[in-house]
Amino acid sequence: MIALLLATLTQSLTLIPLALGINLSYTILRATDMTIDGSFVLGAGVFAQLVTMGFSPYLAFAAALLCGALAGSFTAFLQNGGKVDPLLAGILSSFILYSVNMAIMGRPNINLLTTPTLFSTAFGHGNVLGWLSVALLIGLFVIAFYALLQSRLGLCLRAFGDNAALLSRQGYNVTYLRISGFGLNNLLAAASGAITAQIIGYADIGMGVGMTLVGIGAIILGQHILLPFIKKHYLRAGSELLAAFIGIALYFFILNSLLRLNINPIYLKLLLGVLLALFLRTATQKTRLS
Amino acid sequence: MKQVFCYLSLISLLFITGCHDNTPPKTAAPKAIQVGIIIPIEHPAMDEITQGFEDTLSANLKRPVEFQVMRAQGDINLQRSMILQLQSKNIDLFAPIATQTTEMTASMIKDRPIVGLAALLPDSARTNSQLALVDDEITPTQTIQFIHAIYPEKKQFTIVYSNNDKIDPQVKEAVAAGAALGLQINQRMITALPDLYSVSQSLSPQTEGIIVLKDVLVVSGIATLSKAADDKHIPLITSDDGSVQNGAGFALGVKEYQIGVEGAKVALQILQGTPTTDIPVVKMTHLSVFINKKALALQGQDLSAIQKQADLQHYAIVDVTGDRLGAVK
Amino acid sequence: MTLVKFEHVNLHYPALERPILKDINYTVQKGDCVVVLGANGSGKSSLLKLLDGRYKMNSGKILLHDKDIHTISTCTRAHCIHTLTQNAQDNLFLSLTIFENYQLMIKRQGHDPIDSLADYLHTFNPNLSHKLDVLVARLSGGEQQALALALAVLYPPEILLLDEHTSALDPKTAEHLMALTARIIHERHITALLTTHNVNHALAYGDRILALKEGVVHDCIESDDKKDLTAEALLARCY
Repeated sequence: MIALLLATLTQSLTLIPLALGINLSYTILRATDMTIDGSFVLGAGVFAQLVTMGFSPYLAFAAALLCGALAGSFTAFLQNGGKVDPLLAGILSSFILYSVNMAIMGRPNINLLTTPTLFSTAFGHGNVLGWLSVALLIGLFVIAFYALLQSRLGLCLRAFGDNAALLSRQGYNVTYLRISGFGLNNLLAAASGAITAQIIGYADIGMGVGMTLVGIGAIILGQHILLPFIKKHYLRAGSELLAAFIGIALYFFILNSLLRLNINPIYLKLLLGVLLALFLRTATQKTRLS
Repeated sequence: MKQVFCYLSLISLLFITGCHDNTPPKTAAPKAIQVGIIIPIEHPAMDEITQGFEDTLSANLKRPVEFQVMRAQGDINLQRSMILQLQSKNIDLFAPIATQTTEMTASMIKDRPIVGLAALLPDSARTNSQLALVDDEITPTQTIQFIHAIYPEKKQFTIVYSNNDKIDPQVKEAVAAGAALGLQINQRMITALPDLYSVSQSLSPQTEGIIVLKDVLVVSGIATLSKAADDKHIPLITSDDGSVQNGAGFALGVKEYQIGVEGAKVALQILQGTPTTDIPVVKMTHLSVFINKKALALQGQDLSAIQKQADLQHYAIVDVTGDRLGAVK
Repeated sequence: MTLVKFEHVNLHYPALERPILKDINYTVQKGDCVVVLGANGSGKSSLLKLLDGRYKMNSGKILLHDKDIHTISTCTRAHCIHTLTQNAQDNLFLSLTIFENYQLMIKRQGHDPIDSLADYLHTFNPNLSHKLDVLVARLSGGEQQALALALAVLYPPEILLLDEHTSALDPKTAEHLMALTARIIHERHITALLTTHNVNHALAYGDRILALKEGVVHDCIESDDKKDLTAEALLARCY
């Protein structure tokens, strides 16, 4: 039982920045940004390649974040002027990112088993200390993200997602906002990728496949469960964060539980999907009634 | 009402898994050695490796052994969950298959021995965990040298490969190895399966043989190349047994089953108390030459030259002729 | 003083044979409230959309303060022209609260916040003043349009474009909002271009009336002529 909860906790933890990024794109910018699949790997790849080359993990992590932001800006750039829709732009970017990631990494897989990482010293002193240091870093991201949501930029990004045309007519520079929004969400995805690579011990070209969909599923789940209880509007930013945590934790809880019931993994995704659908249906009904 | 049911089901899931976790598996004898095998993705080769590992370990271990096979279906989140689940059970030895699976296991499991099967990792990666490795790599140079030994008179070959970055350096190595032996190796790259037909139709008339490396995309369309080789009466030489079953002439490769066998030998040493640090990375020495007699006849090739060279190099000859067209092994 | 001047303005869609607007020449003086009348499809809305930049004309010129409107930056144009339409989503951010809509409005203008938003909104619609933390989407249609007007004139723009902004409301609310709008644009000397189908509104609130028919200027009624007109006569002249 404790093992199950620990597994859920540690797995959710590394994907929290990703969930925040998807929250930004899906809930706030209201665009399904598929770039995330690619920038997750990009973050992991840039980090792994730089530390393998002997750079400091801090520098490598910063570079990974920067590259993620650049990838997002590229997706935003593709959309400028409304010529390419966000979903398509994201798919195009993640296509391109596959080659870019391959070029950066130079090989499909870079191992970090003995390379110093952000957490290697802490994990050297024991797992508890190691996970605490991971949690600390994730905590910093959460705080920064919350501050962003409450800031003027956060409000503008929300308005951008609500009605970009109106925002533009009011005299705001939507190109700048689009670049910031997509840059930030991919920065968060790259952070998640770089952290995951350090935990699982490698960066792999295929590690991002399906991450966006897991994230979106988890966030919708979290929001459906939580948002009916949130009546006060000023709690919105906080409740969105909480919904992301709940969603991602519940996703891994169900995944790990089904696994422990010795369910054939072939049917695991089917069951997971049906369970999620069941939750969503009931949660939606509840919102409708209230 | 539905919602109540839903939350109830979640809570019951929690309890079931909670209880389930605490009850030991009924089939397990108390002293059975528990071995966790992690298979990253569904593939017949993975099953062969697993089979070789299980057979050899059960046959040679003096104690009862129980295998827990985890299949991650190509999902890294699922794979992580599976390793965590194995970690929470009393697994005595982990046997992940393929490089990234081995890396993930080594990164997460520090206190129990791991035998990485078909894992290409540098020796240095082994310092932080109890990791032993079985490396299944055959270099393209070995393949080219073997081909040259069989056909010393042939000077020009064509290598067909996909634009996969794992294959690219191997192609370069093969071309360099060919040049060292005075062979000209033409390169034909495909980006998708449909390209294979046009490539097979536009082979240089001087080409005296087609070479395919361990290249999943090309191998999946091997029948197309086999047809071209039949028409031109030149050998189609590959690097795995599956493609030979499906119409290639012959291949120098490793039997996947053998990887499992070598892995089990390492596992035995570990279970008998040898520290993993004392076990060097195992390279595959038992190479096999897979032959398809029907295909060789269609391609107008002489079996005896191949047999002679295989005997000289002490490679086992494995005849997979009867298995053509998807017969189950 | 001339504020806006349309010179030989033409607009047509590639797919349509008939032009939307054909050779429009018209001058708007500062402080005018011009009512644009015309049947559906006569080009009323298109005329306003050319001004706020949502449409681009094919030929001709629109001068704002004697400067070609294309040479004015989008940002500056956004500061001097504000549009309200009948659709709330064209005027407000529906998934944001009243207060957040207000914040977005004052921030882009670079103005200081006003002392009490609640008091300010009270004069437009008393219901709004205690709903500052409510999503705009949850407001009634009348509340939304009143809020949109309140925010539009918070720091008065030079030109207010009102594109049938009352037509989605029930008659009583529409009447009330129209009277409120007219009072505010007169009090604050805002130049307004207003489209409507209500000839009574046109007579009551417009200084001048511009009638369009099938994309061309059908009739121009100056304030002197307007005094003697009845609603029926106006209807006959303009449609």
